[in-house]
Amino acid sequence: MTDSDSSAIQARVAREALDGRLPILSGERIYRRFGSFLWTCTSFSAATWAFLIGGSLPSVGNTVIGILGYLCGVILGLVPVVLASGLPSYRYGIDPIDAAKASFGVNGAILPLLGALATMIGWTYVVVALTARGAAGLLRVVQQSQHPNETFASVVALGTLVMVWVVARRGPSLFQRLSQYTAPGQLIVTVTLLGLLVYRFHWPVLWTSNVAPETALTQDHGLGFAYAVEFGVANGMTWWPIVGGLTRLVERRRHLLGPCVIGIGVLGAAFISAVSAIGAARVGSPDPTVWLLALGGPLLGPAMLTFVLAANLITMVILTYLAGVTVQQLRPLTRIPWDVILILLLAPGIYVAFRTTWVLDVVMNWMLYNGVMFVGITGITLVDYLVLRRQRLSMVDLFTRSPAGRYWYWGGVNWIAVGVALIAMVVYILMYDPSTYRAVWMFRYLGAGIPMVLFAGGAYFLLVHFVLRPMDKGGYGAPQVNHTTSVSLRDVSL
Amino acid sequence: MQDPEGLNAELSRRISAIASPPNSESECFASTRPVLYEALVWVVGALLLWIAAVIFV
Repeated sequence: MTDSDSSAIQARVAREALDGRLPILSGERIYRRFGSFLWTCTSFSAATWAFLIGGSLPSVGNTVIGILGYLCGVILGLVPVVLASGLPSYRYGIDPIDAAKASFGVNGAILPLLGALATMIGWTYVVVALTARGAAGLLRVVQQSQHPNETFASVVALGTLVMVWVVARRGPSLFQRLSQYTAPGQLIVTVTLLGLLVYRFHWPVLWTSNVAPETALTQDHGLGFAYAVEFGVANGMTWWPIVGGLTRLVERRRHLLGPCVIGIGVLGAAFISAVSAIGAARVGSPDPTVWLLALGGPLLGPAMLTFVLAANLITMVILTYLAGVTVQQLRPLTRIPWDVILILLLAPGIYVAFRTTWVLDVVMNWMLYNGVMFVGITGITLVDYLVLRRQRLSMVDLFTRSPAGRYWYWGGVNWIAVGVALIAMVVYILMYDPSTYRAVWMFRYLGAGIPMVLFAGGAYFLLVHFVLRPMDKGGYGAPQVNHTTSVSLRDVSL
Repeated sequence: MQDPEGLNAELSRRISAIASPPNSESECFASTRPVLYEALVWVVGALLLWIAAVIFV
């Protein structure tokens, strides 16, 4: 075998690791600079959904309170998520679902897996629908017609699906490069929008632009702030399956938290949502296709909206890439070529292409509960990895489906973790229902997401101490290093 | 590489490689204390903003 043959094989294996569940070694990571990871995080987060969320922030009764509360919430939601999901994936180069097997069991990880797939696939279709509806709305304005062209919306959606497949099949390197252009562009568009708002209305007017009192959720500033914080915390929680999938591609420790919080939270979510909130409150419509066109005028408006919609491509590609990696947790899919996995994931999108309004009405409402899925999972995986296992996992046991593995628990399922995660979800909804905004009295002081993360983490810590450790389940009593159980490298499998 | 034996053999090789130099000497296995300090700074900053917003807005 020549050197070039050997290099080609190594490159192919590294590529298959990037497109699959194989652990990615430090030297194979593609994010080697702070800026490159920051731009991907920013571009990913700054999709049309950021404009939509921003448009809904004034509904808490006071736009400034909505913006500040959302910023606080996004940071407070993202930090535990990065520590719980991002840290183990970064250290071991593995998918967050594989890392979660330490706490949920090698089969019990199906719970975070279902949440992860629902998040990634659900949001991919929502962004496809948002892009198609946005394009149809743009065409309606340009043609000055009464109704949006549904055929055009379907064609845009189908074309978007094809584009997502074409880019995603090339792996993460391509979206890493594309993000370096789209993220600064998205920020330029947002700064331009802010400049237009300030130029037309001036700061004193903007700061006092609120929705009509009768359309606000509350006139109580304390409760309004709690709502805004919860919007941000719930948004942060939805990143649990995503952050780990990205940090396994990061090479340097100091590039972990900063780009995630700044890119996903501050720039991609809070800044864009803040400008959207002000724009929506000023123009009087939460729909970005309406206020953006109204603000930008006949030339700049359509140009900016076209760029914002086109930039959605990066978000959809990253979501599809991560879903492609995650779905390989299902064993039959591990052996299917990457291109085919992507086709399988995107194929239901053909139905979505013809039902974009339905997706935004039904799926979008269901996705309001997305953050709820991960409050318990975040608390458990945070305490398990950082506190109970002191950041040491046994890679051999993570990939061993046998009673001899230390993460086998009961039939491969840690029912205690599953139970705590489900209880956290139920209690969260009892404290605060994201679709009706019904909340208990203490919600105004604590929110619901942060207490549930603390509850899940604390409950799991105590149950490990009093139940799992005495029963010698989960390997909590032994040092968490490789080759110390009765399983060996011969037993591992994907 | 799509055959199960090939994938599992590559998985074994990578698990060994992760625990061995040069991977075990990379930043991936360095102390995460700076990340935890940074996390603390972000959380404290967000809480201060929360308190300031409640008091002043």
